[in-house]
Amino acid sequence: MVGSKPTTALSRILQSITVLLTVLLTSASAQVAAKNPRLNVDDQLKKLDQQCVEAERKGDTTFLDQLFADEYQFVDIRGDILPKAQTLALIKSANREIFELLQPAEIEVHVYGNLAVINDKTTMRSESSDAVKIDSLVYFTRIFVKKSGRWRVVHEQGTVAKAPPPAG
Amino acid sequence: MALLAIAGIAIPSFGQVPSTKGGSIEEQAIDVKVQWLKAAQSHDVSFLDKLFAPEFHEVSSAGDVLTKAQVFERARSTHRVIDEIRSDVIKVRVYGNAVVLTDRTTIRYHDDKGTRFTGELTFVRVLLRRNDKWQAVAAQGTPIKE
Repeated sequence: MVGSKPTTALSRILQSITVLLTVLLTSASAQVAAKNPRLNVDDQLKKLDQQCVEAERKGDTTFLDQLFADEYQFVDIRGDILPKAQTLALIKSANREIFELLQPAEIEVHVYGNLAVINDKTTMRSESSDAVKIDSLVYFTRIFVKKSGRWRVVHEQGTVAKAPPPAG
Repeated sequence: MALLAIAGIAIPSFGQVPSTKGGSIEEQAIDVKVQWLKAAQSHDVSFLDKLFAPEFHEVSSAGDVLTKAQVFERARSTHRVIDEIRSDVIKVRVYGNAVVLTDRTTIRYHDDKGTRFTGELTFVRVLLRRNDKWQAVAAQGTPIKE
């Protein structure tokens, strides 16, 4: 028992160091975890955004029906506001635009808790069944909201980009 | 002083961003939008500075992407005078501390080169409640074509 006092003191010091290290490591990993999910959310949303664009290009209304929230609104490049049902009907219709190219670039994601704003500059080349051709650069904003653990699109809007000044 | 109290009524002073107190969230958001348009018309950069989050960006109806600083520059300029700006067909969607507000904005302006413009735009604005104040984080305008 005589030799047990230093052992106990040493044991307590070691325990304290262990607790301290645990706290520090937990704190550090919590910070990393706090950053990583944020990065993951950005990546997750970018992927979902790409899937959305791809589904619009292909006319996959089954996917879009699940992705678009009930209150979804689409503001097309003519400034018309289309609710979800009208947007899906248009995408499904026989005279929908056939996209030769629908390529987003310069994608930016801003996450605000359960709401995210995604912007991109999309090259659109399309032709409708009545031979109306579109060949434009369009700025798109998509607003996503997380509902019951799933990201849904609540708003989509396009504005034709200003034409660059003529070269020379 | 942020507020002027006259006869018990709190009147927001110049440059004061509406707080998140009083009225429903929808009413507050519409009030913010009204003051936003007024500030754009009256070159009230002080109000816009408080309203816009640092990361604010706007896709203008002319097809430009503008940062907060660029919107300021435009708002500060007296080369362009907004004769009239108003909005209707307003829809407010509330998601917790965030609001998505769409409207039809009618604008009439002229510039010092004699150019006159009248047009209708469909606008979306994203507002967030931060520290009991409203902040705008994004906006986009699309010209309405007949």
